[in-house]
Amino acid sequence: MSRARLLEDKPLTELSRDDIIEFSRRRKEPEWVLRRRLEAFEYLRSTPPDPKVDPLIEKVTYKVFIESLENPVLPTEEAIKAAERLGVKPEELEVLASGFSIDVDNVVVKAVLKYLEKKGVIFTSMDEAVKRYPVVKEYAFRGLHPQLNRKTAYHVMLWAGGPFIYVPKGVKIPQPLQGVFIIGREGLGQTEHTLIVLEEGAELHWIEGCTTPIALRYAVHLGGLEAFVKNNAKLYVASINNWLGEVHHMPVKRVIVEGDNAYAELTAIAFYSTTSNTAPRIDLRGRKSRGVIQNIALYRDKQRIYSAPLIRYEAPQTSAQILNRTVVRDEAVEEFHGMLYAARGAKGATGFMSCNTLVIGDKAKSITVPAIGTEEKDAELSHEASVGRISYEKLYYLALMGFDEDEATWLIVNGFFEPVINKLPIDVQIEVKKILELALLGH
Amino acid sequence: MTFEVQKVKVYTSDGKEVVKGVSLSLVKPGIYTIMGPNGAGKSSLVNAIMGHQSYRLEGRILLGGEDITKLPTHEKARKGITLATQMPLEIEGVRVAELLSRIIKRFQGVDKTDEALRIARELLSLVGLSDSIMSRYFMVGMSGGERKRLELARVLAQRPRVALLDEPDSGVDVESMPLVAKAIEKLREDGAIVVLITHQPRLFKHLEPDHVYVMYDGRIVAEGGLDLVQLIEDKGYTWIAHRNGER
Ligand SMILES: Nc1ncnc2c1ncn2[C@@H]1O[C@H](COP(=O)(O)OP(=O)(O)OP(=O)(O)O)[C@@H](O)[C@H]1O
Ligand SMILES: [Mg+2]
Repeated sequence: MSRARLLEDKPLTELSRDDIIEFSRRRKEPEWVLRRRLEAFEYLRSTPPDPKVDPLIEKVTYKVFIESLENPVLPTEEAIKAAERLGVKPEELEVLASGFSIDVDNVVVKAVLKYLEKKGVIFTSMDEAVKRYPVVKEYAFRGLHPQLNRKTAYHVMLWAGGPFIYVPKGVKIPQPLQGVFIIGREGLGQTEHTLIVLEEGAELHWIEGCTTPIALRYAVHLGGLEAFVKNNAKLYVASINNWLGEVHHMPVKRVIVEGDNAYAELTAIAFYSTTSNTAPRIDLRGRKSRGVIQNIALYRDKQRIYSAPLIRYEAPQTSAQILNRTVVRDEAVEEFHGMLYAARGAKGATGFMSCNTLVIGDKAKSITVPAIGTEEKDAELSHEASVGRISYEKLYYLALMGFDEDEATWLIVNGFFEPVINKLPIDVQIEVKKILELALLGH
Repeated sequence: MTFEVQKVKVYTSDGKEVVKGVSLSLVKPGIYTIMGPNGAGKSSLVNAIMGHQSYRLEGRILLGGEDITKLPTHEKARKGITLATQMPLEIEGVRVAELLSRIIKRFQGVDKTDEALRIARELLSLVGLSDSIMSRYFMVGMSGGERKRLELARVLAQRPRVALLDEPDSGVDVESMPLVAKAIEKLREDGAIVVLITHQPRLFKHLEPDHVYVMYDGRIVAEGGLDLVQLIEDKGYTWIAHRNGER
């Protein structure tokens, strides 16, 4: 093992400055993108490893990473099958972002995209966008900037692919746009970057699904999403993930609500990953702007979950909600550290955090630590938390109706999610119900 | 179809004997009423029959000659015996329409959701509940009387061969009483053996039981026809229990 390693055979955590330059060159990126990557590189070099992040990324080698990026991956058929595991019908799929490519070959979808294009909407791959649209440079890596934390730095240093969505002033897109990110190979650290910009009064529903067509031996998902929301604009993002095999889910997400009266909603629907480490964040910078982060999840087997959503208020009369509604079963362990923080200037901020967990079995565990912080005296932030169990009485009652324990549990879990699910777009509702059925009943 | 309860004793988890040897041999469809004072052991008996984990049951339960004593509750239900509970529970987030249509699909062999929903609406109207209840969460926030009637509709949806009804009439208002009676009557018409636990003789204005049992302190102490109900009204349970030398 003392022999010098091949250049390409090193872990992603051991990349050199030259490796990053080479990576960027291969991708024919503009100089400013490389600069951001190098800033991330410098940040990583100057800060200590994060035990929740570095050991997972270390297991992916540069060679594997590059190969999977440059040979985009999936014959469409497999990709579509994978999408169906998320409950997405092929005809509803606008974007299939695997590695570098965005493939669209559905006629209906093409028509929709044409229509949007006419209205000035830009919907293209980030790889293309950084080269073609100057507007990208104004926003990209400003929310997810290289010095935010190590996870984000790794993402910025290694990002590839993902969509860029720009919605011009006053354009409201009625139908949700959908994208599916697929990890198709062992070891690939999927690192797609999604950038969304909503100009004044614009409206967008973005639904993204993450999955894989085969059970993977090892993979890391290090995707990123950043969004900017201007005056009176409304952004709804729903992210559904359902992985197979050993996949470590650690996306980075940040929405900056810059505009007055603007709104952003981040919904995560999580079904399976070996570990999950998420810290979605919304910054409320516009007067009277509002933000919601909600998480619906079913954790099972030996899943280890760490989630730390943050909403930061920076403007007067802003309001926000964090909702965490999870089911923990088998030997899964969930740790939740939500935070509402009213910074100086957030006069009259209001907010509410609610965490409800349903624990099934004796070995599952949920640790909930909601936190509130404020620098403004008149901010009104509160939280509540509950942990419930499925009572024998309920199982017995449902058994009188002929439901066995699995079926009864499934019904109760469905019902537990229902108040959150029924507010989501109908497409997402249907998808989620299908996945739940698959997860709890095995069909 | 026959339903036999043979020498059943029921013990609570702390070892108390609450049913002290009950035998019933019900061999044809009909309404078999059990009346008795609070604490007599009526609910314990029917819940123990269904396999509730709080009770230990001695003796045997035969359904159509088959020994079902040890089957898990859901399998008993699937064999055609169910219980309308004294206190139906709320199933949060699950709509009446969804639950009933799932039950109807399983027990009535219906494939199509539309058809199942149509049947569900019919059952609800039979017990005097309006269509609008379909979109509500099961039992959540419903009044006592609504719960009782929904519970009966649920039992009807299962087309049971044996229906154990634990006070389906309690908390039901005067005007709804005939509807409850009609629903019970429908079970009998469909060929079910109905075991009806009730405290209310006025139910029998709308419904004639085939047989009446009096349960007292864990035992059946008297049986007969409607005249026995009159005797209960006139003399009370204790008198009846003691006239045959009980205690
Ligand atoms: N799970 C239990 N644990 C302890 N005691 C119990 C349990 N279930 C019933 N009992 C006791 O057994 C006795 C019979 O109760 P049961 O509920 O069967 O009476 P009942 O005839 O249905 O009365 P009511 O007419 O009031 O409904 C009561 O004294 C009750 O307190
Ligand atoms: Mg009772």
